[in-house]
Amino acid sequence: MKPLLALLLALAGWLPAAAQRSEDFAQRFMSLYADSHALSCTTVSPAMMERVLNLDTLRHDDGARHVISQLRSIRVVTAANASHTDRLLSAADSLASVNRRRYTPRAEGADYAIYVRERRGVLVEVVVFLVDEERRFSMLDFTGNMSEDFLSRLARND
Amino acid sequence: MDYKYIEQLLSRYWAAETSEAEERILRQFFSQPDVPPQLAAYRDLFVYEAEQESVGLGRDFDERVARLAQEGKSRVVRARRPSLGRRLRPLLHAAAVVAICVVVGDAAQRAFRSNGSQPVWDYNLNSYTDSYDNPQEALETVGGSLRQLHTLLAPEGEVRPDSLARTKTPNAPLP
Repeated sequence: MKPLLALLLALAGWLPAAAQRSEDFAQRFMSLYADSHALSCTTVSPAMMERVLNLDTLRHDDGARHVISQLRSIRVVTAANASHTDRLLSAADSLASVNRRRYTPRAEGADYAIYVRERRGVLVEVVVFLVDEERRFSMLDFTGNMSEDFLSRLARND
Repeated sequence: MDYKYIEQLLSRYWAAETSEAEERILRQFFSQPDVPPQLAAYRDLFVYEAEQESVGLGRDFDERVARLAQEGKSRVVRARRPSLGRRLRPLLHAAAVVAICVVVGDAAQRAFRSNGSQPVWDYNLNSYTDSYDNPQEALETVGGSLRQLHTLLAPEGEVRPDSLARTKTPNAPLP
């Protein structure tokens, strides 16, 4: 009995630790709202990002390579129609608020909000909620090992 | 009477130097009823050996052994089969040790890994399923997404990055 209890306790300790390999915001959002709001998600995985970085197209573009090299993945979530835009924006804000210790607001405007997740001084996730020209909800989720310089370069168009 | 010879034999006896004949003499001497008081203390030692020589198996010894053997035959002793739990106990011991080592090792690895120079990206790789097989198509999504982010971050009037300019927008629904 005692060895079995020890084994179960060890597993109970290990499983949460293993679960620390977490999901990104877009994945979580999709798991909650994809079915009820007809959301679709386009994913560029870390493996594909590596292949993108090795494309001939980018070989001579140091600026683009510098930016993309800081990315590990991108998810683009798009709503099929504009009927649920406000509800989805609200849901995205709520989800970010609930996880406020994980995601901090970086910028916002009338039709967009940007949240970042920082870990040991590195931006590991940048999440953007926005409304496109057709009033459809859209979410961009960048993960990687991004520095503040990453955002600065994007803002400056370097 | 002078018992000097007996005392000499006793000295040699304590030194383990006596022969069998000399020890026989000592036994015979101490077997008699009149042992002098100064030597009476040693009488029990030599008499005990003589008494123990007479101890042996009695006539009923064989009968007693046969009776005990019969009693043993009538009582059937079955081998006790250990329960499944008991049999698995060593395996559970080993599994518990391995699990504890894995947990401690993982925790230690995370602790030692936690310094500024190590990557901190901590997402589950297995949760990413590519939407594209072609990296060129993926680049269009990457470029479009970065352009959108740039549009939101950049001040009004900034020129978009040409190197990432593509015709396809990232908001196109999946086929």
